[in-house]
Amino acid sequence: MNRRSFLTKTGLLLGGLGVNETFKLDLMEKLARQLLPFAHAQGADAPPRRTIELCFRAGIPMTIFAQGKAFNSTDNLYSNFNYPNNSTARPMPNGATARNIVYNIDSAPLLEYADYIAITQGIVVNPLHTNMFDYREGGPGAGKPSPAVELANANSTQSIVHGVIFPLSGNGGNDVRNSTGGLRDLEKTNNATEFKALFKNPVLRLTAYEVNTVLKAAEKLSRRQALLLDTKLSEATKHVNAHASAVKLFERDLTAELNVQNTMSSFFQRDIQTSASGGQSNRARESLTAVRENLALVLKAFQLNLINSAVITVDVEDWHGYRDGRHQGAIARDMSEMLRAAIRFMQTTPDPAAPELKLWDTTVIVAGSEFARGISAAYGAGDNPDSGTQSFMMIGKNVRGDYYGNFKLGQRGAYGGEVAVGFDPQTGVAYSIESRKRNTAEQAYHTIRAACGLKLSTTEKEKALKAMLRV
Amino acid sequence: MKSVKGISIFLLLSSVTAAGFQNCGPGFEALQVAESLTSVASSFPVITEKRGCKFVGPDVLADRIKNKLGIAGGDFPVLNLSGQEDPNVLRLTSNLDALGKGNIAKGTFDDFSCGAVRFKAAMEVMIDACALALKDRNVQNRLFPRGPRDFEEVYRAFIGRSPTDMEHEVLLDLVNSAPVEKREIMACGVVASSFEALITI
Repeated sequence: MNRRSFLTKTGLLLGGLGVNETFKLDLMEKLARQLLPFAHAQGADAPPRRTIELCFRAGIPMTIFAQGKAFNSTDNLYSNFNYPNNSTARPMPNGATARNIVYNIDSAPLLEYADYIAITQGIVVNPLHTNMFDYREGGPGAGKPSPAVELANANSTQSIVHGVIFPLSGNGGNDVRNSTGGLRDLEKTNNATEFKALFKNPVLRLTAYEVNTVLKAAEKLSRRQALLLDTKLSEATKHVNAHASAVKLFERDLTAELNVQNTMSSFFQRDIQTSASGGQSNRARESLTAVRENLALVLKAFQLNLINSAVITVDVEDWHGYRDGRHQGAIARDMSEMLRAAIRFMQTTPDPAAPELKLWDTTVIVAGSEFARGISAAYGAGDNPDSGTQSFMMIGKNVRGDYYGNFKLGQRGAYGGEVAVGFDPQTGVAYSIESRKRNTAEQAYHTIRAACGLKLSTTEKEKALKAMLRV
Repeated sequence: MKSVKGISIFLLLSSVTAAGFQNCGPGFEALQVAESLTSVASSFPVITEKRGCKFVGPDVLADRIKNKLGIAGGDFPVLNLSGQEDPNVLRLTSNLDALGKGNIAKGTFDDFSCGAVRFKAAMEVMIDACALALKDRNVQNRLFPRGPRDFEEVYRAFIGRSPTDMEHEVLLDLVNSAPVEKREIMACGVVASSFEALITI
């Protein structure tokens, strides 16, 4: 029995029992997930799905990349962009449908993709300071699986390893963890060396031929063992397939192909511009250097179908430490160039799980911050809470590019006067400043899940910010 | 009221589907309830719940390396690219992250979920451990006391039971195609790195 047939028959049964329509659909989804887990990830004809989540620590707002037009109405009040390049916002390219968004000189590399980049700062944050990315777990304390975890566990691409997380960027700093909701967490790789080690062939005390013979026999033996274990072990077939994937990892040494400095040179054409100038430590530069290599590795691993999804931590120290305009600009520039290289790679590289599609057709990049510093107009009074907002950005073919929400700047020195608001989930029209209304982390969570192609229940669909999506 | 109604319907459906869809083809699992077992004393079926898959973890592997394969300390040096032992890098210890061992310094906890990375690291460790340990004739005699085509002892050591006929057949094929001097080593590697040897349920 396939999923569609199951849902049809169950729907008829529940309908006959007089169950409310909305409740019926939710119940059917829950039953399908429990009874037909193999079919939950996607329908028979659905394309494979992947995601890269970039998690910005320490208060970086996504408005470093682009802002709503309201932000530009007053010069030099918006502290986050108190650097020279921000004064020249880039107009949208001809034919672009996004209307309420402007880029700056440093984020200009992203301009040509503006129709596929959606940004909002209007997500409520609680507590006001760091919340460890509650939009990634369905809201404060909700504990639902992070989108990358959910997608990787479904592993619709049948990648050898379901997914990886780089909990740190560079050496030390703040980390990022996933909420798993009971699913299997992503493999932790602390740096590029550890990532490559997953796909490196060890030198053993047998010849390569002997090792291969042993592994093939072990795979065959394991499948026979799984038949015996089927009565005791849940999802025995799935787990023995993981064992078979491990055998595949020995088939060839991928060290050379994962040397992305050589194989993906477009990512490394320019040095990281962020420097230790302005009295800042070197951590930001080291971090961005690591982030760039990690991002290139993840995309290369997508190309080779080694992993399904990934989480990459971006930690360039506390954002409110950057009051040197050149320093802020360099970080925005470096990140924008990295993202442009990633988009170009995805647009030209077939997805090995569906060679008729490009990675651009199957992958969504989600960037977000667990809270945001620097939107406050006032330096001296502290800028941690940023009027209680956090932000996220989505890049992908399913995304309707624009800036969503609105903002009113406070007076310099009058910290707390600024207001960030959200937008109507259906129409995308910004809420009025007077309403002080914001969107929730739960709404952001389901929006990201929808963009990633994850299956949403009827009630979850109602919570998604549909205006940001093309699906 | 809605939730009570929902639970009732869920239970109803669960029983209907569990009873009616048990033979719906490969991949289908009726609420993860195992097949009914009829006991001698009763005609009522005994429902046994299936368990999730859990990787054995590095401590169990170390114990096997030490006590089943006789390698002191439960770990051993890796070979470098020149084929020489590197005393500074131990095979099991260098794979602890991949084997899911938590690290307080890194703020990580044990994660012994069943996945390709865990299995790959364990295969690497156990195949190499067999290759090292079975050079010792005493270990070879203990695991293969009646020769390379008798898998009873090696299977009991790593799996905890005798091999079935189908499993015996796989091992026999391997041994028949292996170099004479590597038969026991390769059979040990296959059993010690097989799925059932690397999980607990």
